Amino acid sequence: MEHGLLRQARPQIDRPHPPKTAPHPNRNPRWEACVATLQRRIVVYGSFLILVILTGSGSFILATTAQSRSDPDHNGPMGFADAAIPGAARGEMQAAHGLKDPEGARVAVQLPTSLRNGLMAAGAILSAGIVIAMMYLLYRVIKPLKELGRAVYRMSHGQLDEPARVGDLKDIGMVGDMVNDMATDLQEMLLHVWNHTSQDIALLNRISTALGCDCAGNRLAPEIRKDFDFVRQDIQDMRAMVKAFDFYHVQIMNEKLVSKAHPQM
Amino acid sequence: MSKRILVVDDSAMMRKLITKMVGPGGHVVVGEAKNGLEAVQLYKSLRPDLVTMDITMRDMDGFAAAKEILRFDDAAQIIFLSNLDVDRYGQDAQRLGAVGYVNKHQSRELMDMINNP
Repeated sequence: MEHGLLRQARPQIDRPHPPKTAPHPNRNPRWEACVATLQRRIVVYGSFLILVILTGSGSFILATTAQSRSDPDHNGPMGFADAAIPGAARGEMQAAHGLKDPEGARVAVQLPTSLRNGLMAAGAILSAGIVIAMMYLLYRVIKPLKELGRAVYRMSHGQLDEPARVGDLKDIGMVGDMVNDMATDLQEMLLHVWNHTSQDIALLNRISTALGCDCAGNRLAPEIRKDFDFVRQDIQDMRAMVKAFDFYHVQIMNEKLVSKAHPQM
Repeated sequence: MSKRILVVDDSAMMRKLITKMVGPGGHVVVGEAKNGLEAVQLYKSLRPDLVTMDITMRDMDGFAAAKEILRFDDAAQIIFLSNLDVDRYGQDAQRLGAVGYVNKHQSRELMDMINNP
């Protein structure tokens, strides 16, 4: 019933409709730009990685195949020089691989040792390239993510005093900047609460004095004193909550907000 | 009289609040800056009639930015708008050459100061 009355008493606020050209409230242009940059990077790095992997593995396969073909003792499927394979079987194998002349085939697959070694070296270098590229990617992505995680953790524990430092303002760096903005807004709200409650306490004390009682409301009727105590406790609880936070460049000193950068001003 | 205002505050929420607050008075927010460096640059390019300046900001704080702006234009009208203690910082703001110092939760005082600096 009481709620119903309150609902009726609340004035109706005419909110103007947002213009059609206004950006969607859930779409942050900075975030959109950040995602686009991240996508571009993933495509570029991914393409580079795939190219390196393909080139490296291709060189390696070519080098190992050439080695197996030029090795007369090798008994693998491509070792046509194997004398142990009977004539008919060898003919079948040649037919399966599209080779008519075994001598011609041997001439076609045999590579000079220097070229073979070169291909193997290229494969090794490219494999090392893959490892370095992957480590670089991990460094570029994982390190700022870790820092971001730390910043969010600090924020969730009420430590707003240290902003996230996640490098440049691209992709993850921009997310870090937005986390810092969020911490700033939270700090702003808390300091607002602190200032308002300071004013409220001063007001309560003034009312108490005007009513001719002490700050604890000792000369008030018990019901009113109970209400007074309730309001005062509410305010104290809010202030205790604000005090539990560590603020960026601001500290609470003797119940007043003081800048850490200019404490003596 | 309508004024062109530059709002300087590191909190996006606060910038929005000030913009909404000064709108009905016929004033126009011509620019918003989130730190002192941006404020100095924007002041030079926009030449607003009035600046509302927060104190605690990253990169360059409000006092340093106000000094820089007043060095560029000694007739600049700057109102410090902060959560910090008025008794401790108010006089210093005036000594610096600012129009005044208002606590952020005192919206009426802010509007009075904007209308009659």
